[in-house]
Amino acid sequence: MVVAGLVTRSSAPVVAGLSLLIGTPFIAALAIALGTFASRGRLAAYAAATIAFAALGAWLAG
Amino acid sequence: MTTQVLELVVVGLVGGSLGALFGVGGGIILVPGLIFVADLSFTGAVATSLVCIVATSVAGSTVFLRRQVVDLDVAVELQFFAVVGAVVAGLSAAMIPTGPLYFAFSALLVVTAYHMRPGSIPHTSVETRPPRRGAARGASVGAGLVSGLLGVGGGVLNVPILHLLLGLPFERAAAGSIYIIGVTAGAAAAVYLARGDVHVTVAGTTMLGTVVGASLTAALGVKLDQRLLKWGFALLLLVVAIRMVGRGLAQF
Repeated sequence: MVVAGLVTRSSAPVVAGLSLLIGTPFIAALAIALGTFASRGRLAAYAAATIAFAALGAWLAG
Repeated sequence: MTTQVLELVVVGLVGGSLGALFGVGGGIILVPGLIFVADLSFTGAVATSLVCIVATSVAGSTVFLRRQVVDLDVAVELQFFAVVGAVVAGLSAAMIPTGPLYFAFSALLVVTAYHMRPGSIPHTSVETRPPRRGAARGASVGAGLVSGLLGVGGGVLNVPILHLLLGLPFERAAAGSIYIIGVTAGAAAAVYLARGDVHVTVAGTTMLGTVVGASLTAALGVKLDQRLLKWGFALLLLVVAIRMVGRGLAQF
């Protein structure tokens, strides 16, 4: 899904939504990060990557 | 029960007030306060402090963002690297014995006391120097590690990173730091929360004191002899550092 987000670029929100539906917020955030990075939204990509890493940390701890 | 609630509120009030007065996140006061006054464990104090830092950062950042003094282009990038450090630290904290953490916290107190002495903050003109983004990213990971392990915001590291490495004017560096420490502390707090280290009632009560203390200090615009105040604060930090070393030695 992450790869799909990268390849299709603008489909990142769709990929993120699908990921959230199957309960993987980390993957969703990562998809947004990669998708926005691919569409040159550098700031949004960093913001999404931050959320992704924070979600990963909480997931690993819990 | 009532006594502990009062203790937590007082620790929060003092932490919030001193934090607002000296431009630090407040964790440097909250963690020792929660250990020595409210009798919390080191981990419990760190977790509670991180939650409180998020609250004070949100309150401060709202004002700075509205005034457009936060350089979001830089802050959003560096917050990612700080969060990486904070999450790694939060995950590692459970595996590190508390003795060395007390010593590390004491060292941080001494460094902060050193920087607190009057005239120590270099308000130098560094805008003409080329920004060192790579070094800033690496240093931000370090600031995140310190934040996640010791329950502080890391402002003592963030301000020099933004001001000296990236050449932001001091006021913008301080505003950016307040924003970054909230995100960093939030990510670390999420790790502690997921592990069950955050006591919601304790954190909520302390946070109440912190927010009230910070808001009152900012609203009243306390006008005291800055020189005397800074020396007093530096001395207080050194005394707390000695007590933290004592507590650390008792862990062995």
